[in-house]
Parts: sequence; structure tokens; C-alpha cells
Amino acid sequence: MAEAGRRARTDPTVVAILDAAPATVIGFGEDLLIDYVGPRTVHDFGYEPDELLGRSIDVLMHPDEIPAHHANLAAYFADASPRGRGGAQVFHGLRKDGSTFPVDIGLTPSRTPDGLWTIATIVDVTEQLATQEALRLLNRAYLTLARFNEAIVRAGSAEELYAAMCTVAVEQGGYLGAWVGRRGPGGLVAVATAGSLDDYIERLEISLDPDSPRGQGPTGRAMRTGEPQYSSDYVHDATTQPWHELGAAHGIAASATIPLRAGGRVVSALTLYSDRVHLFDAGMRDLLEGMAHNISFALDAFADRERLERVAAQRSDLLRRLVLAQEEERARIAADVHDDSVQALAAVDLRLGLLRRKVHEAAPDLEDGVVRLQDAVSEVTAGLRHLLFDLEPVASGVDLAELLRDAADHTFAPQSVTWSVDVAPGGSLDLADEMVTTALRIGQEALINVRKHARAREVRVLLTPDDAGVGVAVSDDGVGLPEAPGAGPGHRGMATMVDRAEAAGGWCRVASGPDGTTVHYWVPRQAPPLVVS
Amino acid sequence: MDPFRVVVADDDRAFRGALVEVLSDDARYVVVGEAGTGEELLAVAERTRPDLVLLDVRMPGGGPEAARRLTRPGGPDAGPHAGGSSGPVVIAVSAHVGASGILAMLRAGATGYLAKGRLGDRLPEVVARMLDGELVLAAPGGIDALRQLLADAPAASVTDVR
Repeated sequence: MAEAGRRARTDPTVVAILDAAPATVIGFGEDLLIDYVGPRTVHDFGYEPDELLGRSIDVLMHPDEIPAHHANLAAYFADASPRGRGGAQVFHGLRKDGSTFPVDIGLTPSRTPDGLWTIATIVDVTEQLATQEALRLLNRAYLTLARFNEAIVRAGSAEELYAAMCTVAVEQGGYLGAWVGRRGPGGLVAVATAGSLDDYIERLEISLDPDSPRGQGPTGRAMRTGEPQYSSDYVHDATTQPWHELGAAHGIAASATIPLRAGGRVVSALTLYSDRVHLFDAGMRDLLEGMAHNISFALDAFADRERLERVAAQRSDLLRRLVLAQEEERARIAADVHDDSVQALAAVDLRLGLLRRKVHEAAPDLEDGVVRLQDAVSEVTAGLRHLLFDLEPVASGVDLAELLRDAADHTFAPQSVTWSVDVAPGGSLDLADEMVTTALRIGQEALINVRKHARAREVRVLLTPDDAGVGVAVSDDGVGLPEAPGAGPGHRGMATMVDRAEAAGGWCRVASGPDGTTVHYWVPRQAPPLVVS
Repeated sequence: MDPFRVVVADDDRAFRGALVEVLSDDARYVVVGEAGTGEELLAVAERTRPDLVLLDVRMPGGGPEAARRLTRPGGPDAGPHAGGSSGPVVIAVSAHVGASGILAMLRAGATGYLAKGRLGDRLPEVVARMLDGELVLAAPGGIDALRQLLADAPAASVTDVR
């Protein structure tokens, strides 16, 4: 036995080479009996060479792994080719003191007249594995961070984001559990949870009171100080004492609590639980704190958006109510005009007609006076009728161009004014109802001003839709506005047009010269999302 | 010849009174009833069988609804001058002169439209012509209403008159 080994050992060159190896080197024959023990063996396994020589290599193996070793060795002896290190399988060496450590084993066969002699190179891979594991964790942390950022981008509200964060932490991050607590009545309220710790999280009873032991844990501190709190070894951490029993029962070994801010204030905290102690090293902490920053940024964005939406909703609502109130007022005036003035004048008109017949027969010299009275009544009635049309409610389901055509038709009907209403190509005239009303009323006002003051021969109305709204230009070739702004009879109407446009989030400009006047205005399709100051 | 039997429907008493007075002054007409609402009008028309109804467009229950009920088959019978079972001639009277209002009344069976405040001393003559079968839309929106009505009517219904 061990003939080959002894021969190898007596060969000074072979021994010198083997002795210089930076790992444990063991030589053995097909009988698996050790006949060479390298000098590093004592460092790795705790055995002096003499303690191993002549013994089976099994003595260095983790007892659970001996059958696997033997299967491997059988295959190895069958083809007797070198087995390099770095196999997929990690074995464990057994030290003299009974402890084990991960090893990587290489086998180099050497044929001798006495059979196969094998040199096993055994490397302690504890550190290598630890590095690999750390890398793997960091990788996973990066992936988790990427998913967190995805969730931040996709979430539409704080609640959605909290839920997504917890899910990502558990599913991607491999954490035992995650939860987000928010200030609530009587302490911290869990607003989102994920993982297998629901029972644990439910029973946390975290206080925000610094004087209570339940307020001195990582979450309480994070909420108070705004600093992240890590419990590297949860069940031995004095500050987590109230939760040790519960935490241990759930396999919690470490925790990280990251405060989240909105508007500069700490509003909530994300807590992650791991089954590994000392998981949260400097690299992980950097990642988590960077992530918390992003989340806080998103929370601010949600708050901004919410404020914006609230303002926009308020504004749209106000605008609708304003337009509605104006329309109701118009309808009321129209009803009054109709009921009182027009009816009364119409009755006068009829009675004057009757009077004229009688006068015609009885006192022909008075007839002319009656005719003039009739004319006066007709003129006033015609004026009131214009007013009635102008006050008429806006027909629904009719587009702005059609409404402006009706308005122009009616406004200029008895006069020799040429008018046109055209729509520039390239957009639809779809507008919210209150915007149609606003745009029509401004246009009507402009047309009435032309009729009353411009002495124009031609009026052109051009509608120009764009993505955000519709522009309207009402141009005439009349005498223009009086020089001093505010002096002209149309001034109040101008101010009303500008007010209407601006209240709707649009604008209205009036340009006037000796060649005519252009009223140019624009209204958005919907009430705008921002208050225009 | 017997005078035309007329019902005047308008919720404005002053205007209705003026209408009644003008028509009563003319030997061609006899005002057989007055109404201030659509319901009253139907009842009065049932009872008096007028040849002609002057119908206010904006009075309560008036306008197209009342015109439809007056002219539909099974509605109140008309006087002898209006052609028997076809119901009375309905003439709309309104302060509103827009095409849409005129159109609505024509569709509801009215065959004339008078704008309040433009009649002067012509009312008896205009009404006589309407009773004679003439179409009178004495309001600025009349032409537009007619054009729209023709545009809406299917071409097939136009009769070849050669």
C-alpha cells in the first residue's frame, strides 16, 4: 500500500513542487488511503501530516457528503482524467476540530506501475463564496432598485406606490416582508404590506411616542429623526426588544426602516425584513437611501398632481357655473324682454293698425302721424328682437362654425353687409359645452359691435382649430375703433369679450385701424389645468 | 258669407286683447274664443270649432305641441271654412323670428307664421290670405326655415308638374 505515494515523496522534485502549492494537497492511491499530506493541510484542516498518513481520505470529508464523494471518485477512476476545480458542486471539508468549511476540490491523476496515484488540491472557498454571495445580494438589490424605480414611474398615487414597493421588495428583493406605515390616529398605521409577515406586522403596535418603549424601535426613530434606521441583528438589538419574541418566531434577522418624505416632512416609513443578519451593509444602505429619495420625489409629484387636479377641477367647475349663471341671466332677461317689452309693443302695434284704419276713414289728416308712430314702434320692436336672438340659449349639438353662421346671419340680415364664416383645415371644432358657449358669446359680441359701430361692408370670421383649442378672428373693413381706448361706445363690450376669454383660460385681442377692426380670440377645448394669472 | 270663426291663444292679455279687438273690428271675422294655455285652447277649440287659431308659440302648452294637437287626425273639428275634418288653420304668432322656431311650427302643422310687432294694420288682410290657402311666413327667418324644410325633404316627394 501507499507504494506510489512513498515513491513520490522520496522524489525531491515532486515533493518540492507539491509542498509549494498554496492549497491543501493530499495524495492517495486507488485504495483512498492518504500517502502524501501537503504543508498547508494543518492550516486548513488542523491535522499534522503524520495524523493523516495512512488514513482514508474520508476523514477529511463532511460525513453527509461521503457517498457523493465516492460516486465522484468512482467515475474519476473509470476514466482517470484530471478533474479541475470550480465544479458546480460545493463540498465541505471536515476539520480536526469537527467544524466544516466550503471547499473546491481538484483531482490530478498520475499513472504509476502500482496503479493510479491521485493528487487532490483542496481550496478553502469560504471567502470566495462570501464574495459571490455579497455580489449576488448586491445584484438583487440593484434589480430591486430598478423595479422600485419602475414602480415609482408607473404608480398613479401614493397608495399605489406603497403597495408596489412592498411587492417588489418581497418578490424581487427576497425580503421576508415589507410594509409601509403612515402617521395615523394613535400611532403608525400600515397602509401597505407584502410577504409572509402579515401576522407579525399586524401585531407590531408601534408608537410614535418617544417615551414609550414601542416608540423607541427603528420605525419610531426613523419617523422622528428622518434618518434611516438599521437593525443589523434584530433579535439581539436592544431597541427592538419589545418585538424580539415575535420577530424571532418569524425568522427576522435584520431590518431596515427608511423614512419617506413628502413636502419635506416625514410622512411614512418603509420597513424591510431580512432573514440574514448584517444584510444591510454600506452598499445596500446607499441603494436603499437613494431609493427613498426617489420615492419621496414621487410622493411630492403625487401631491403636486393632486393639488393641480384639485385646482383644475375647481376651475372647470367654477367656469361651468359662471357660464351657466351667465346663460341663466341671459334667459331671464330674454324672458323679461319677451314678456314685457315685445308683447306690449306688439299690442301697441296692433292697436295702432286699428287706429290707422279708423283715422283713414274719419280723419285722414291724422293718418300720417299714426304711420310715424307705427314706424317708431316697429323700429323699437326690431331692436328688441335682435336682443332676443342675441340672448337665445346656445343650441346643443351644433358646432361653433354653424352657431357663428346663425349669429352672423341674424346680426346682418336686414343690412347690406357681406359676411363669411370659414374654418381653417387641420383640426376639429370639438369643444366642451361651456367653451362653445364662451366662444359663441364672444363672437356674437364682436358681430354686434360691427353692426352697431363699424359701418363695414364686409365681415369675415375665420375659425382656426389647433391641438389645444380653437382660435376665432372676426375682421371687418369698417371705420375702426375710436382713438382713445375706453372712449368708444363698444368699449364695455370689448372688456366683456376679454373677460370672457380669460375666465375660460383663453385670450382675446382687439386690433383696430382706419381699415377696420379685428377681434381675435382663442378658447381651450377644456377648462385649463392651471390658473392663468 | 258667414264670418270666419277665430280662436285667439296667447298668455299675454294685452296682446291677446289687441288681436281680438283688431279682428272683431273686421266684418270678415268673429272671435269665438280666447285661451291663455294649451289646455284651455284645446277645450275652446273642441267647443267652438274654429276655422282659424292664432297660436302664441311661447305660451304654456302652446307652440308646436298645441299645433300638433289641433291639426292631428281626431283633433277638434274645424269650422266650415277650414275644410272639415282637417282641423282648424293654425297660424303661429311669436316675438321670436328665428328659422328654427318657424321650422318647428311648420313641422307641427302650422301653415303661417306672424312676427309680433310687425303687423301694423295688415293683420286682417294677411290672415284672410292665409285662410285662402296662401303660405305667409311674415317673419325674417321665414326664407331660411323654408330652405331648411326643402333641404330636409326627400327629393322623391317633389311632384313632377309638367
